[in-house]
Amino acid sequence: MSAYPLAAVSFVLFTLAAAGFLTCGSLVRMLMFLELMLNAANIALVALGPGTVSQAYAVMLFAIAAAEAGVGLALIIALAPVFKTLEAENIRELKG
Amino acid sequence: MIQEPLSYAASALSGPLLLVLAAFACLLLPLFFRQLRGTQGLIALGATLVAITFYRKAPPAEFSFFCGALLLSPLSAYLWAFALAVLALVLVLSIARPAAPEESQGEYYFLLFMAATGLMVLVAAGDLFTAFIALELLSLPLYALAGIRRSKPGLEAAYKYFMLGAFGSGMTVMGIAILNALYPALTFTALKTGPAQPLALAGFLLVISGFAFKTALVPFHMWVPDAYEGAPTQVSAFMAASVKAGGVIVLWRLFSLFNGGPIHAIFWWLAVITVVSANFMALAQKGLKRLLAYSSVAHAGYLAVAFFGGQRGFEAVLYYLPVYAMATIGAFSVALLLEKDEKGPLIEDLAGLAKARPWLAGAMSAFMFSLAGVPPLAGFFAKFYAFSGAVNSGYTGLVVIAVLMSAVSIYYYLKVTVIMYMKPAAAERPAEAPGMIEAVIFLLAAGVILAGLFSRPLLILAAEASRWF
Repeated sequence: MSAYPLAAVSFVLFTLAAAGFLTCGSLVRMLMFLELMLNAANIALVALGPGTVSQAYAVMLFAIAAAEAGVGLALIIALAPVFKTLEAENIRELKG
Repeated sequence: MIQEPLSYAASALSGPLLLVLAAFACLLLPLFFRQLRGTQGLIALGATLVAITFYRKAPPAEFSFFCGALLLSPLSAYLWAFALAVLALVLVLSIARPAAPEESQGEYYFLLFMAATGLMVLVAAGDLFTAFIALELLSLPLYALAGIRRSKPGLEAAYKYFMLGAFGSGMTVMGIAILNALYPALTFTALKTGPAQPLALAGFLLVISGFAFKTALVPFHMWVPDAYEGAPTQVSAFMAASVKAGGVIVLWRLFSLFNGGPIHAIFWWLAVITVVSANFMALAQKGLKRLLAYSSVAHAGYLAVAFFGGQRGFEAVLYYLPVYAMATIGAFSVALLLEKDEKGPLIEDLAGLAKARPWLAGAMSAFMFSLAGVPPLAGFFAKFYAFSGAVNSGYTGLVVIAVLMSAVSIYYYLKVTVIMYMKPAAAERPAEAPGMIEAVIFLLAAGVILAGLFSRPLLILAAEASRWF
């Protein structure tokens, strides 16, 4: 199978995820879109990259995505009882 | 022949390894030995000071390790010494006034050490993927550190920093995936020789915008004011001095891959927009930490202007980073000393400081004048070298804008000084015995003044390091 359909999938997925991240207001959904962005990049790495190095990169990227999700979820869990909301527009303690 | 790089690498790499070891020591030892509780800060400071001694001697040449993923050279030795010095200062501030609650002291130092290790790998990274992993190692602990107090301002700062920082990482990694498809390898040397295709341009744009998020160039700066204001002041000082240094070094490596062309045009616009908008936005700020945040964005712009000076510009960047770090950590320490709630003092709260504590006010004015670039303080020479390199390369228009905006910045830096000296205090200040924070402040004030009056030694070090780029 040619790599180009996969590349197209990855680019479309990345664009959708970035657009979703910028438009949605809930923290959990933003975190999910972030993970989608990283996964789209992972598809591009494996589908387009030359040789085994790219696959090694992809495996390392799994670990990074997991660490990011961990920190993000921990932050959200710490944030929820303090602010009693997970909508970004209601979290406004600092003057923006 | 083989022996020498290996033995040098062993001694150089023991610096970051020692930090990792100390990080785990701070995290785990107090759990097993009750009497060690509360001493994590001292363990941390000791380890950092030992690590600094590894970099007294720079290596004789550039050694590359792990297929070019890690470059050890006089440049990396210079930047590692800088990173460790910043870490040591922040540790002293955190020992004097703990940023984290009692039960998470161990985690606090662990995260700080991990971030410092990430910074050290980031500035020595020889390929783009290593740079990305190091960037994550630098940022992920900082997200957690910003919210370590679990209070409203801290958590809001942490979540804003996390969301925008992670968005930037997503863009970087997509750019890396594109470049990985087009180039045989991701080392900076391989990227230099490759073909310039439209798709490669898109990849570079994504990577650059990702790193611009971390360096806080406008329009990627939205998180900076909130993150700096809400995070514990010690952490804000670390963010301002270290994350910027790491981002700037990688941006310079990307910038110097090209000779003119669209990428340089983009950097030109980034520099102009950053310098202009950050200085104007800073004019209206009321909080001291928020003012320093916008000042940090503006200084990222001046650093981007320095890129256009080529090799001399990079020399200026290397001189600029420690000078800026001294002034900004000093100013954050003053904010730490005066803060009553978590958002830090307002600029108004500085009123009457000159009467109550004249030495402190003097040190704060030194930091402000250095940030503004008033001679003979170090900040003036840093800006002078940064701008003169760009003028020599023919970017006069850019430098004219930067100098004009730098004049605008004098207004808000001077406002702080004027309030300290001219305005009477609203309430009587209780007399306080000087402590370790004051020691840091006076050390940094002396550094800012001496690095200006005698700029030669630091400049020679920077020039020596910049040749190994």
